[in-house]
Amino acid sequence: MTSEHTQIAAPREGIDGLVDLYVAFLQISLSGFGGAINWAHRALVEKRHWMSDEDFTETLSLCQFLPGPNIVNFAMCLGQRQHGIAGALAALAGVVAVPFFVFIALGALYTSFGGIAIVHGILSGISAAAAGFVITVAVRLTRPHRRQPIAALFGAAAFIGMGLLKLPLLLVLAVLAPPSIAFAWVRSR
Amino acid sequence: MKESGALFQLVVQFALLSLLAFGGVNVVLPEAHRFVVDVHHWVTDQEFADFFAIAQAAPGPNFLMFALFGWKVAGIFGALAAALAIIVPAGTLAFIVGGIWHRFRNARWRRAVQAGLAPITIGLVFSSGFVLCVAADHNWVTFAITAATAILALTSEINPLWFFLGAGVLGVLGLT
Repeated sequence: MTSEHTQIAAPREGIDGLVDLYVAFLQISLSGFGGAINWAHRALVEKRHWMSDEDFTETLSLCQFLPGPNIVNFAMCLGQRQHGIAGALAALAGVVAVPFFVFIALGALYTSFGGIAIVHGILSGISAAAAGFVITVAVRLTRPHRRQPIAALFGAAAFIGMGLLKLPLLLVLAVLAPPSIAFAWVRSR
Repeated sequence: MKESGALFQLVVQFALLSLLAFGGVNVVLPEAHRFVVDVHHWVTDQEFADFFAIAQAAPGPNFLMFALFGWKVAGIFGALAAALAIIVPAGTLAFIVGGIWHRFRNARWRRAVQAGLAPITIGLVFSSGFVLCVAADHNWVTFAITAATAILALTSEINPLWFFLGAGVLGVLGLT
């Protein structure tokens, strides 16, 4: 774990900086099973010291809130901060370029062998493990928010609306976000 | 001709999902399922579940499972078009908002928005976990795999790869 006293490393200039971003996000992306985000913390905060712990958590929660793949959003935000639009594109290329071809290769293998019972059994087992991981991520996210009963109520309401009642996402957000933000505003005084 | 029409529909729909995926792509999986399986029959129910498992286990971000849907519809170009449809709208938004957000990081309104949205996002991630459990856990073995993974991943430092390996072995044995 990094402490608050850790020095934040400045990004390198020019092409070197873009290559650094590409390599960092390629690493995160390729080691991304069980949630790329755990690996992002290791790569960006602990190893490279590009961000503080606090900065990481804040950027992450923004990227989780914004629509779209969290890791793409994270690459765009951090890449842009370090090297503008070129940095954002370099980080994005790190996230997608190589894994894209890995996925296509796996898709082709699946077409050839997907009908085999063993393959189906393996995939079924992995799906079950993956579902467990999503729950793990959700539980981890609650940690900084313990002992906040009203925030917990908003979280529970979002779960009931989306997970149990299967209401449209936009409706859930439109109903819950304004009062939750208002509550946070009043509390921050 | 039929293929390009289908691909166009898929790109438009995925670009829309990209902008609706508050909390990550797992949130829009139910909607994606309705579109590619129920409405258009481009992908079977079984393929959908298997693509999800491949995406979880493969080295690479899970959202690339959308590229596999595109690949089913129109080959490699379909895969590329589908991936870009998921990436570009949300990525552009993140690029614009990310800069503004960082500039106002000490403003009170920004802290309130962030603090107010956090619990809702967490509730949405729990929803995804729940929806995925319902889809994946069809007998007591798969249920036990889900529970064991969640508990061990929270309480130990074991590399996640071992969970997938273990789950895969149970699959080879025909228990899943």
